[in-house]
Amino acid sequence: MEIIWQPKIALISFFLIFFVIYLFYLTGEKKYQKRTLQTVSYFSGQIPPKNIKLEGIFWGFFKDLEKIYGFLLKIQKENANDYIFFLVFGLIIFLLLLGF
Amino acid sequence: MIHFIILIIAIPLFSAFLLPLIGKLNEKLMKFWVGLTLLLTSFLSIFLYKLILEKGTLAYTLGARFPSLTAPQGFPIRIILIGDALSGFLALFFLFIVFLSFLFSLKILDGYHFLDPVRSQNALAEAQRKQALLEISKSLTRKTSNGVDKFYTLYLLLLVGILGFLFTADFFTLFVFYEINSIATTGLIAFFRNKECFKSAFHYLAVFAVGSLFLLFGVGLLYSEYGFLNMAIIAKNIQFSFLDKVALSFIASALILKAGIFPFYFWKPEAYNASPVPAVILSIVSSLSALYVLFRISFDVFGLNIIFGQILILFSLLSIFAGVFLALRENNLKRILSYLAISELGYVVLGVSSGFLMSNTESGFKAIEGGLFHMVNDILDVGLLFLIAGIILYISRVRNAFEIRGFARKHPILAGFFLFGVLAISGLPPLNGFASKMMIYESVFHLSPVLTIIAILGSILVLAVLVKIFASIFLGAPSEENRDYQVIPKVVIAIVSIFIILMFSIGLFPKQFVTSFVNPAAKALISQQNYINSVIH
Amino acid sequence: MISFIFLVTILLIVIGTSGAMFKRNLIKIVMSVNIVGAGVNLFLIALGYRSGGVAPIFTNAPSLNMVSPTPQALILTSIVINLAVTALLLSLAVLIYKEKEK
Repeated sequence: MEIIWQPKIALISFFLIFFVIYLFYLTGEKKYQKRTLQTVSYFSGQIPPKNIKLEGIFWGFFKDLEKIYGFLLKIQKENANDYIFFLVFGLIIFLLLLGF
Repeated sequence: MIHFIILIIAIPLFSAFLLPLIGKLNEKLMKFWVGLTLLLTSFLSIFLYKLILEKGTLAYTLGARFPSLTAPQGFPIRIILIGDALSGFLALFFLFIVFLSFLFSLKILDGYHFLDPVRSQNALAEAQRKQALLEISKSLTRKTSNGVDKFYTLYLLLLVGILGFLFTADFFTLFVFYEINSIATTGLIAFFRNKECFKSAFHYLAVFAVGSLFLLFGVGLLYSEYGFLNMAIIAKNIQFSFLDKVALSFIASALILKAGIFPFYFWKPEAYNASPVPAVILSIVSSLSALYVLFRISFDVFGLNIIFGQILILFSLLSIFAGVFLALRENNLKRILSYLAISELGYVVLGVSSGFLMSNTESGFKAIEGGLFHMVNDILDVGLLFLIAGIILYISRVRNAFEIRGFARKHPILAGFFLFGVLAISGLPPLNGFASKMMIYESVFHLSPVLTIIAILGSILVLAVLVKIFASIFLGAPSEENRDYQVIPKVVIAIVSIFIILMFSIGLFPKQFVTSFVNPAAKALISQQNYINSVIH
Repeated sequence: MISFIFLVTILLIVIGTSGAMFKRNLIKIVMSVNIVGAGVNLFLIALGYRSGGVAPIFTNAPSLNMVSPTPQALILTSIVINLAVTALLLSLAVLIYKEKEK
């Protein structure tokens, strides 16, 4: 870190990159037509169904790891009993690892 | 001049107790009183830090001039406060952040996102909805303006607890300040009075009551062996017997419960979702101060124990991983950010406990410096993200923040600030996350390359989570149903830009920051003999 | 072996913690937290015992062999703090019930 990092070079390169991005930004269109297909996410020219949203972007990741996520979310119900259970569980792990 | 240590704890406590009386007189006077207290405490911490840098570690005895006075044999049971370079640096920085979040809470302190305005496209229903919202907002304004003095009382009490953690040198005062922290945070969680918040507050206090009783049990075990409660005297006489190991596991699990790392991170999402945003920032600060006490105990009181360091490294890796793994699944903005807070605390523990294992080498010292540096960066980055989340929820009054689209077209400045926060948490240059994470990666590599690989993977997954948030809320065309219900106050934008300026300046000049602040702090942490000598001459 | 009172202490702590882990009723959780507090306080008091000792008060003391007064100061603080925590827990339980009724 001490050898590579020089603040002046970082600052100048940061401003240069910002300037290039600003030049790209200036070549775009400023206005958009509301309520046409421009405001809808791209779905190969068709209208996307209502249940496809951006927060489902990692659906493949969840589908592959269904078992692990199911197990983790099943043991973590949020009430005081589970909290104290995990406290005692962690304490026992600590005692076992530290003492023996 | 030496009395600054006790004044820095006593002044917020005194004004917290006078605050409800002043609140009944006039509301503006009460806000002025709180601001005056915080300014006074910040100036005291600056003077205290200068004094510590001149004279070394300060030990202040309550009730006598130096610690071992009036004892014919042995060492009397006294309450001692110790301030050294690490606690002075942390107190200075935390008070600055607390003052900024107090300024934030002057303008934005509402729980409108717990209501759910009904959506409709009809004009008549639109007018009815506006009318209903106006009535609800009137009733909520009456409630919250009646409760604001209680908010500031709990705020100042939590600040007292944090400063007590930073300056304590005594196991029993640790227990007392632990309880002050728990009770004050419970009040802050239950501040918006609806069923979800009450349930979260109950679950929080139940587990912390049991945790603090475990802490008292561990302290009692230590007292039964050595007969003293003072950290420095125990550090001098310690031999690492079986009862000591049991006591260490009880005390350490209570402190890790307060810090919020694996396996005790479960209370964080619920608690951070239900409390107001300034209280969340204060809660993160109290987690960091609990980590400070854990490091103080493991370096200076119990000595360098290999197994304990390995346990801490295992917990830190699992918390980095569990934080991002569970955050990918959530659908609530504040809960995702609380999981990211857990992950960043894992980096702090990874850095310092690797330095614990590689002690007396140069990369070990650099790892400790990286961990302590990351404490500062963590509160800046996660605090910035939470502030912007608070602003988004304040303006749009939705329950589920992912229904908003195209926020960046109406507020491009806030979108840019959020983008800088995203870059800072993932550790990209030229922001401050890069500097501290680079120090941790480079020095942990000498211990084992696997740690660096998992840490870098954690950073990448953090970026994945934040890209999803940024693209959902900020990008795209604005949806027709969501509109701004409030105007952003100018003060709030000024506070967020102070955060950004600080992030950039620490990121562009990390070497000056590390050598002037973090280096004396790390040197004060690792020398056990120095700590003992400050109490017993 | 361990003397009898430390076994009672461990028994109280285990009963209280398992009550807090397995009972669903909010009032029973509060009672279990109180039992854990009682166990820890008993542990601290029992540390100060000297065999054949009297109460640590100086005036008109029958003998100078006194039990240690330091743990008594510690548990006074602990009892007051546990009282505050119990009061807060119970008031939160009452408020949860009132919100549920609506």
